[in-house]
Amino acid sequence: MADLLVHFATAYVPARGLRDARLRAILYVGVCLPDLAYKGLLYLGGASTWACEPTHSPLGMIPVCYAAAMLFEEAWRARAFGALYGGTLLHLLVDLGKSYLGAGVIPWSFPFTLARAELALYWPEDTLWLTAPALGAVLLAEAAPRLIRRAARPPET
Amino acid sequence: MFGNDRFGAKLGGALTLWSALMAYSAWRGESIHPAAWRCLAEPGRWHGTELRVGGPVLSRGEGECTVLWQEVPLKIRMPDPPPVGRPIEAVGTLDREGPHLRVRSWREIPHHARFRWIEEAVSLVVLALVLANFLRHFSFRPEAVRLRER
Repeated sequence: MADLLVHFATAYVPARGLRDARLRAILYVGVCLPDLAYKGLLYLGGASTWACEPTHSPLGMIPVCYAAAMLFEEAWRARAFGALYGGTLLHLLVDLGKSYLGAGVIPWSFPFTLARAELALYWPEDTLWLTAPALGAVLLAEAAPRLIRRAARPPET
Repeated sequence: MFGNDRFGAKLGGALTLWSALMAYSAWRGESIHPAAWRCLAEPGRWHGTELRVGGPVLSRGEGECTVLWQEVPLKIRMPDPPPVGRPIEAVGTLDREGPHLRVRSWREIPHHARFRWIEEAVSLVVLALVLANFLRHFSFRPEAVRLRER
């Protein structure tokens, strides 16, 4: 959970394109879901770190997103699953960039193998430097459409 | 697939599958990447196993150092060991002689890593805001588990 602001920013910026605020709200939960499940199981459930590994695998998160989607009203379930799972995949893509000295971070093909992949683009603690740019991106995504609308408005006479 | 028919079976099936995946991961993961105490207790069994270790350097010598990993001291052979007290992480294979870690790559964990608690605090705020935003749009009413008169 150490970098949820960065994860949130990666979802917030593209989600501005979604018209439905309710769908956006589910997507934001989805992008937090892998860390929420991991830390919840680890600290609240007392599970071992290896038992928590499926929370950061694409196939392993399908049952979690499905179960969470089933808690919605019937009309919402398919969309809720899509938003939750989309957010989860976005989270895993960002985490895939981390470097663990070649040991890997995301078990992409779990449960078929426990081999983990990484792109080694940044160190885990480097997300500390990404906090401010992430906040900037969120504020910009929020402010830019308003500024554009204001600029496009015809001047009052 | 998302319909109300056999709701309990669908939800139960997903949660059962999730539990099975966790159990499988715990079982297989422990056998691939064992805990520190297991490696030192049975170095012959885990000889050649790839490990990712991390912790402060307890002592250093010529071409090796000892790191406190999961509260257990582990010897690591490397060409230029860092000074005592520096936190490091390393990836390599366990060698039954010693036992020690034959390092493949390693690094000193930078000073700013100790400020990750700031990120943790910010993350908790973000999570609270995300959940608050979600609850603006949805409310949870578990009608399925409500007891009703027959």
